[in-house]
Amino acid sequence: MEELKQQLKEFIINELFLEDITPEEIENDAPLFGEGLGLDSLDAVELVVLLRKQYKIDIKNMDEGKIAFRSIDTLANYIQQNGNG
Amino acid sequence: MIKTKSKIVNRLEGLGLFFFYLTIKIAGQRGAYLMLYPVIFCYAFFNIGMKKLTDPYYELIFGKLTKQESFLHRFNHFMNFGRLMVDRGLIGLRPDIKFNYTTKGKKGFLDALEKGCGVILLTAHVGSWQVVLSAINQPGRTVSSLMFRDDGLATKHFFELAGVEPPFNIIDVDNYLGGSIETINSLLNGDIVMIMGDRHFKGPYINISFLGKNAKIPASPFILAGSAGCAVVPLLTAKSGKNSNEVLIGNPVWPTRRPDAAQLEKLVGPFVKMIEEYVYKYPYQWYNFYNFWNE
Repeated sequence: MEELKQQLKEFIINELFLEDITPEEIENDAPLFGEGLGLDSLDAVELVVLLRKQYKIDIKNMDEGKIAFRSIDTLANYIQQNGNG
Repeated sequence: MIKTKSKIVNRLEGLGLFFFYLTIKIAGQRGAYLMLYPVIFCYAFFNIGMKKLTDPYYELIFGKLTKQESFLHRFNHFMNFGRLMVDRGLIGLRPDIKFNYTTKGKKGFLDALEKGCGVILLTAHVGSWQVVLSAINQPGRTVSSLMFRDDGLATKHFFELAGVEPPFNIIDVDNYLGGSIETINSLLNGDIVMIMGDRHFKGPYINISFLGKNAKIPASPFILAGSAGCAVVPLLTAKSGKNSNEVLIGNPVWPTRRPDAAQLEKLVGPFVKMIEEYVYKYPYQWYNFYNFWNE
């Protein structure tokens, strides 16, 4: 699980082109959107596409998105419960 | 932005709409159009605030205006909008009335759909959605519209007020993360998403010359398409006669993933040019009643 969280942090930094931040600086329970990591709706689009490609995960609707995209912890849980990759 | 209206205002609006739809039902299209004249005349004459909001647009199209010219432009503009509202109501109340349309440039749209991904139809505050739906309807493809669900009764479509199933799926911009999850899923499923591309509320934008003055044009539809790997197809409609319409479909563009500002400007440019050509041809059918260049 810790390995998956680390992977997700690197994945988010690299794929969403986040600058001036390292995986170590991202807290597992910090919000990904708005305050916290500060991702926006267009980053959410990228995340949906990348999760589909990388982990064969579908975030089917906003209710699932609300749960999965809360933090690194919740995203890792969601992948573990729903992933096929 | 959007404010929640008081119950009294909502009730008055509801009453107004009731009489509006009653007029359409009883008087039909021609009768409802006629009834618009005195109402629009008073609105255009007495609503001084609207003059300030709309004159900048008329001046860019027609040059310097006298008071009389300003009033006439406002009157014609509001009359067109009124007719559009009547036509909207007719769709629900009088299905016997048919709206015809001619389409230009549909091949590019069909080719873009053939590629396997969905398509973003980039439209503007012009014409009517029912014409767009008839023109783009493709078997097996759901059409969604990314839009604000204003709480104002007057802005609602007939199907919303009547509580019947809408002819397209609405993705509310006020949903979690601006409806982006539903939007990207629709595109990845190969469906069609309509987005109004001529009004910037929030998010990335390009400052670009529109009718000779810089205006903010949203860049998000192009960024979204780049992420999904799908095309953006510009589409505008115009009412060209009582029951006839023109559907103008522009060339598809395929944004790259995460386009930079220079790339975005190149993508936004042809869309803005298309709207410019449109407003010179149909100056009273672009329904942005605010100072577009001052936002």
